[in-house]
Amino acid sequence: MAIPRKPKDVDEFIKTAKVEEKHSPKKFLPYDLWMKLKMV
Amino acid sequence: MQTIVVANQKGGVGKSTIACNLAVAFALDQKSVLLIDADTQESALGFRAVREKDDIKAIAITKPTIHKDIPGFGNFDVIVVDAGGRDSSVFRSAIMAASYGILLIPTLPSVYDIWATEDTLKVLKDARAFADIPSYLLINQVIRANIVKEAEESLNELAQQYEVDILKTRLFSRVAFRNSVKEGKGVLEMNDPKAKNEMASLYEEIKEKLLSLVK
Repeated sequence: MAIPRKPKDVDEFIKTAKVEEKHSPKKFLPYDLWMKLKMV
Repeated sequence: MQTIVVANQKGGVGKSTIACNLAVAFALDQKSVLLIDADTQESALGFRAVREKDDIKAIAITKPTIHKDIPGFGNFDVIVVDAGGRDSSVFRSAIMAASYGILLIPTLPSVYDIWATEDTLKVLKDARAFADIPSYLLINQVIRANIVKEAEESLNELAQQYEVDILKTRLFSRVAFRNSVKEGKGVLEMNDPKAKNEMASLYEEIKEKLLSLVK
């Protein structure tokens, strides 16, 4: 089995992450209420 | 400016609770605090939204630029980063950002949780090829002190293997901690004396670690 090569710099280190997470008609709110609803 | 990154790929270990409570502790100590939410759950942003006091500023950084952005926030005394989730580019950027201060890795006192923490320690090991990142494990949500003893052996092995220290402070599983984020308060502002003592102890220990970086 090939040994994975170590990243050569910080940019490459960051790009070698395993996953890419996605951060987040019925129109429906003030920001603080939106956060309360969000508060998962 | 001092930076504390609270991170672990393992979910449910109390990252946001600890990040928000540390932010409150610094704010109560008259420090200007920026809370950076790098977690998809955005609990830290929610904490700021429900907090009545305006003493803590909060932003979300959802792109892998945290390690590049930190120097631009020099007008704050303290930056606390809540970095959750899996091994994503944003998570790795947050780990690199800890080179401006310290990395705090909360873990639960079970052998399973401690083993799961190794994924984060492996990323830390790779990151250390590019920067010095002082890192500390924190045992969180302790239910009974005797359970910790069983897990301690595994934790000591990991700490030795990955050259991280274990903080002396232990946070117990308490209602005050669980309610603090959704109420927008730190336990230091609530009425549970035991939770207050534990948080005060953690704060003092973190301050000591940050001070040792300056020397």
